[in-house]
Amino acid sequence: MFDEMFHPDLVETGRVLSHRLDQILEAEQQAAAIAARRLSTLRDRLLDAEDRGVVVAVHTKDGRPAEGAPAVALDHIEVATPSGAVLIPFTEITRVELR
Amino acid sequence: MTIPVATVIGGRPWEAELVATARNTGLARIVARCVDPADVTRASPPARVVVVGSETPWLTPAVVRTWRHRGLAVVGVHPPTDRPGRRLLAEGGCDLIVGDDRPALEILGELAAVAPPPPRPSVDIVAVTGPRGAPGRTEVALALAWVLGGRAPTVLAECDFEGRALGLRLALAPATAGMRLDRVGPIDVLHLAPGAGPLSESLLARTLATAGERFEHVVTDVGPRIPTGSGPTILVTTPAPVLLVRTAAMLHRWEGPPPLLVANRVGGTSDLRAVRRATGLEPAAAAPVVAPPRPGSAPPRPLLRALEELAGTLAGNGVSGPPGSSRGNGGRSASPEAARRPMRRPRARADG
Repeated sequence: MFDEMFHPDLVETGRVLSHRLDQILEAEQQAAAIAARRLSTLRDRLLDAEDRGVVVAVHTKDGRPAEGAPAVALDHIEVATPSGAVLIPFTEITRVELR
Repeated sequence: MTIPVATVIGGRPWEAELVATARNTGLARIVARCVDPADVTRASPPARVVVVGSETPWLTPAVVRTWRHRGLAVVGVHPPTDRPGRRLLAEGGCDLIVGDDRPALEILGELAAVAPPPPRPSVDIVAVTGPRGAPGRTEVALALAWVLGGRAPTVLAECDFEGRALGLRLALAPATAGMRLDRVGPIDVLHLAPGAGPLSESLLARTLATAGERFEHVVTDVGPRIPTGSGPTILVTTPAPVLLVRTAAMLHRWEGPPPLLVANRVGGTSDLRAVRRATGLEPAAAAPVVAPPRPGSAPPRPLLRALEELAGTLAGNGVSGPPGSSRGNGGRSASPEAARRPMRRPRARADG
């Protein structure tokens, strides 16, 4: 069966369109990656750390850091430290270090 | 355990929805949100499933095949009307192809069905070989498996298609067809039926791979041939001149990492020196002369003691290098002092 997309007159047009499509897809992907980062919240980043099994050091307003594996809840995180679990509300967090 | 998943960020909204749903439900752990193909393989902890959209600019069937070759399951997502995109995913051999109009919860629910089982630590298959002329391959293989079996589940497999001494040594009833697994002391023994010929080698390879899932250690008695596996190899020889010549000839043809040498039936320092001179290798273990064991008996205790350190090295490191090398048995080898120690007198009979 004849495929019109392979007609000699359309080869160049097809190439240009394909190139443009690739450029659009790349731009969309970059935009999505940037949007994913810009729209992320502290909770998202902590969820990310929990999923990856990353240890975090959480500094709070009272100046006592807690270091361990985080478990993220809706309004607080639970950090498993050697001395036991520490519950920290998000509003108390001043700084988080990913280890 | 929740499945570790890597997603590929694309221009369509399904990925963000999938990630948000996974995070809220805990149905999957998102270990990486990737922008280029290398991000997927770099993910730490490693992902077991990749979810990728047909809109990904660099996605080709080859990329999908590469991921699958690396043991990842690939889930392809495409707009329902994007037939070329669907074809691209199918050509790559995606394990699951779904339209991006499917709810994220449903897609996550299907991940468990396609996710490969979690990787198991690889099991080294220890091959025991040696020259023709009865250097004691079977006895050393049995003793080594015996020592390893005292620490972790171990199987000793007879891969010596010509000799088949293991069944005789352990006084096992011959397997009637194919191969059979018998429990002997602390180990399991896989031995072949008398009629099983070289054709069973591929079957044996598959069996050993399966055995690796059940056992911590797999020891094979491969007879007088140079093993082709990637695991550590034990080369058994004795100070007898004819065997040393044959061992040297074997080493001349050797390919792959140098073997760990076991000097068997060593009577003293001069014997060890002769072994070193003939082989160019430092023995990883030196076993004394022992009386021929009775069929069905346990390996002689002096032999078990001689192989303790070597077994510890194999169990601890899974090493395959030669003694004294950085990948060897931690630089340890049978010390000349050990050889200088008076060997125990041969026992009247082996331990029962």
